[in-house]
Amino acid sequence: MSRKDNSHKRARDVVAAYGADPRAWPGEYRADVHHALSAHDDLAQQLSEARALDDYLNQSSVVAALDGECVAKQIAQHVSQQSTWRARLSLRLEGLSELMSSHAWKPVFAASITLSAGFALGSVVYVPAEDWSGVEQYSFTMVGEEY
Amino acid sequence: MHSDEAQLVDLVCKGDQRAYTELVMRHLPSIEVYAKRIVSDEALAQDIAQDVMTVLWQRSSDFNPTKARLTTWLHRIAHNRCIDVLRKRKREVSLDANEPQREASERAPSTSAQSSIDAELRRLPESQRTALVLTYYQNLSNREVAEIMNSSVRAVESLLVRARGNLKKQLEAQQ
Repeated sequence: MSRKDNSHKRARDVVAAYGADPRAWPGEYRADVHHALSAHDDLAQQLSEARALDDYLNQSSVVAALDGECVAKQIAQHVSQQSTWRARLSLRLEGLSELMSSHAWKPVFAASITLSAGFALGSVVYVPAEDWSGVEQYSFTMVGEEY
Repeated sequence: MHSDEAQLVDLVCKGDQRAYTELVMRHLPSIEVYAKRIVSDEALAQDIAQDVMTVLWQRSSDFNPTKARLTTWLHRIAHNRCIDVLRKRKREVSLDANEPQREASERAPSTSAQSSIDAELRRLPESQRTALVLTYYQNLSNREVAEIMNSSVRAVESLLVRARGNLKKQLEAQQ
C-alpha cells in the first residue's frame, strides 16, 4: 500500500472513529487527515455524514444535579481518611517543622533544659539513707525462720 | 495535569477540606454526567459520583500525578463502579425467570424529558457506549480512554467506529 493510500485510509478511520470535529482527532494524525481531506473528494461525503452524527450527539440533555460544595462537606465531615504511613510521617514532620519555625518551642526548650539539668545534678549528689544491698538475703532468712 | 491540581491533591492528603471542596466542585459534575450516561439511572449515577468523591477524600495518596491526570484517575474509578452496577443489574435480570430478558440498559428507568440520542445511547452495548461517552462527551484523549477501559488505543478506536456506525443506522431509521 502506497503512502497516499495509507493516508487516505487513516483519514477514513479517524473520521469514522472521532467524527468531523478536528479538535477530537488525535493530534499526531490531524495534519495528515486535513491533507487527505483536501486531496480526496470521497472523504468530503464521509465528513458530512460524520458532522450530521456529531450534531445528533450534541442533542444529549444529560446534566449534573448534585451540589459539589454540599457533597464535599458531607464526605469530609463524616468519612475518615485512610492515609498511608508515608502521608502520616509527612504530616507529622510538617507539624514539627511548623512548631520549630514558630516561637512556641522556646519556653518548652528552656523548661526541658532546666529539668534535664535537675536530673543530672540529682544523680550525682544523691546518697541513699540506708544500705539495702543485703535486703534479699535478709528476706530469705526471715522466711526460712518462720517455716 | 494542572500543577494547582497536584498541589490541591497534596493538601487533600493532609486533610485540607477547602482543597477537597475545590476539587469536588471541579470534578463532580463531569463524573455524575458520565455515570448517568453509562448506567442510565439518576439515583444510581449520583451514588456512584459520590462514591468516587469519597475515594478522592479517603485515598488521595494513591493518586500519582506523574502517571495520569486527576480526571483520568477519577473516571477510571467511576468506570469500575459503573461496570459493577451494570453487572449486578444483569445478574438480577437473569435471576428473574418471570421477567422477559431484555438488555439492562433498555429497562433502566429514564429521567424525564431525555432526548432521543440519550435513549439511543442506552441501546448501545456497554463497551461501545463507554468508549463513545468518554471520548465524545468527557473529552478524554484516546490514550486516556484506553487506560480507563484497560484496553488498547486500537481497540478503543474500533469500539468508537462500531458505536458511531450503530448510531448512524438508528439515525437513518428515524429519518
